[in-house]
Amino acid sequence: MNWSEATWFDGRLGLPERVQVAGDGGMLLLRRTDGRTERFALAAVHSDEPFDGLPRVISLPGAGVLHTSDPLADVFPPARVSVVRLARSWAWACVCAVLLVGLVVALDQVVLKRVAEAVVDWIPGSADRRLGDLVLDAADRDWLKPSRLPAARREAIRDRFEQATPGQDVLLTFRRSGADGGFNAFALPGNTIVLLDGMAEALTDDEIMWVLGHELGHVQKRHGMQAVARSFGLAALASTLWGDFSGWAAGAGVLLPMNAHGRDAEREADAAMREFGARVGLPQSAQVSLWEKVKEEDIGNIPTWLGTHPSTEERLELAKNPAPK
Amino acid sequence: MDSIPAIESGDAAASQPASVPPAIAEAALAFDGDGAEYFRIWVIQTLLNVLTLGIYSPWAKVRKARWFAQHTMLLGDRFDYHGRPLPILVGRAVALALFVAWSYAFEFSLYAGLGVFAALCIFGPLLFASAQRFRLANTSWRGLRFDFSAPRSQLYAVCVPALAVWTVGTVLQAAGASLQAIVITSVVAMLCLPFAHARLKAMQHSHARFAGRRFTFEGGAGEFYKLYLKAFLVMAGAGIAAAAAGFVLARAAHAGGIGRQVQSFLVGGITVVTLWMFAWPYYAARMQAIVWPRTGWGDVRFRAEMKAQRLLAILVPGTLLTLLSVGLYWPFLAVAMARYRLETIGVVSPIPFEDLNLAAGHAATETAVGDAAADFFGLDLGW
Repeated sequence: MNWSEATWFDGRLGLPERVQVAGDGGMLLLRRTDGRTERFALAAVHSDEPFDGLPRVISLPGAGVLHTSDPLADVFPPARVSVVRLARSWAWACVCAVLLVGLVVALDQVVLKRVAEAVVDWIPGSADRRLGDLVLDAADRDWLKPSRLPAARREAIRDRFEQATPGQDVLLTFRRSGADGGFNAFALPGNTIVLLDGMAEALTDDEIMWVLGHELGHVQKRHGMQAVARSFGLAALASTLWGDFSGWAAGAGVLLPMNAHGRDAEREADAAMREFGARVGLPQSAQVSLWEKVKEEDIGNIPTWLGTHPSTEERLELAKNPAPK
Repeated sequence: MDSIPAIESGDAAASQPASVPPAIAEAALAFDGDGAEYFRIWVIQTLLNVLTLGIYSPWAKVRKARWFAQHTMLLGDRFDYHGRPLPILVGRAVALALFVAWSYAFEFSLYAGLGVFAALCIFGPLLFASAQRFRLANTSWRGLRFDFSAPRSQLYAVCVPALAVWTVGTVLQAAGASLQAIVITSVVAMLCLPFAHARLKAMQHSHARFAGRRFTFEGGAGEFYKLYLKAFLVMAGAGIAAAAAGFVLARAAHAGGIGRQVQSFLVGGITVVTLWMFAWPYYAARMQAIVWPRTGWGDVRFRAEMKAQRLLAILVPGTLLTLLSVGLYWPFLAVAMARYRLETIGVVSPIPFEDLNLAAGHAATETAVGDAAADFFGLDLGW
């Protein structure tokens, strides 16, 4: 028989005893210093594959633990694949790291996006509106102020937009933010589009219609609700990834997409905008001048790979040379 | 093992209050895990977690806990971890259900919210105790298990007020109380929080066992109040400094023509990261220094000499590297923090360690120890 040296803590005294262990059929034999032999059924004994440089730990039923530097491969045949063995190789670790990063990106861009779309199909539109109202209420409290745009201008913009969207469930509302009124427009979950004074003041009515066409795309495709669904998915993903990190650190990863629709959604909204412009008969020159003003407004905006909007340059090119139908 | 000369004779020690036994033997915990090795385990396990949408995480958790336990040594002997994955899976499912229910119940209706709050008060303490028990009962040193069992009455008496203090603001807000009432109650609740936390820690430590003998814990709510006050000041200071730094950077970014979204991201991001890097280490270091010296096991006492500055020296570069490496540096940081945290905990005994009777009191609770491993729930509170 193949005896190996081991240290036995019997689970009672907390004192080490030098012993020898060996496997014999279905039994684990333990030869003690005084020559006595203890026997344990292997089925009742538990031992995980030892880590590199650490002893094998064998839990004995009701009799403490054995530590041995001998891997005892004949008694505990190693599994064909094991994390402990894979983890010995840097090659495997690197392959896994690459796969991990790729998988997370793919999960977010493809799977979570699809799942979010499917989930949103199940959610009634009234939920979107309720959420949108909540968001607008909170925004009104925190950072939005009533619009100071002349009432006549507001009416004109609203009339023109309503004529362009007959029978469609969409609501245009005006606000301002910051000292310059805010150069922005956004669609809330539900049917509300918010146009900020800063943008309304800087743009002509034609240009504003192009912007509203873009936001209408978000409303029609329910991008707001999809972003919410996606951020929940991302939260679940982050907490499995960083399970041993603190809770809010996992949450921080989820903040990133909360505020944005994601690049694909922006491209979809741009496509909807082009369709809208063609249908309503908006002048193409106004779209070109719109992107030029946007470019002016946010020189050095977030690079495309970081931010969520397609680059203004790209949009300007498309507006100047619309793809043939 | 470090032995220092006895200051007083054994007889004199016997007449001393139990809280200050003269030290005759001292030893520190040691940790010999390597960040690179943990990285390889972590990256494989994390990939498996993602592939299985988290179902694999209890198996990963168990292997991780085993790795950290076996790399931790006291007097040259390694700790062991014996947890099995399935109870952890069940425990996590229950905890997740409770958490989700709590997060959304008040959105749904006031009664649903109160219902979940009641469920939280009934099951929360049981889950807390069972998680403590699972973790300790599955940890052993020299073949002797740790354990945790608090009488149910005390469990509720400590946990329910703590839960109430923690959640009273949310409940009142949902019930439509006036802003004044919410603010006043929340301030009172904040003032009670350190006390509730002290009671929780006292219960956690005084009902833990090793080899069948209970640990002891001596009061210290006053220390908790001092710590909370100081941590609040550090946090406010770090928050202001970080917001200022973020603001300056954002201004520079604006001058450099960087978009507004990036600016607000800079201010927010820098604030959060700075708080995590400065306020948390201070809090963690001070908390260890408060809790461990008040803990005893028989005549054995504990030391904790964690320094906030040392922790910072680990955390600041570690956090930056973790951010820069999209998280891949995290396992190295986790190992460095575990090493520092463990190696600053020392054990002090009035008699030589060889003469400590580890077996005393063990026989009486042998069955309880056996039961503990079969406990139903198991939550991961981290090693």
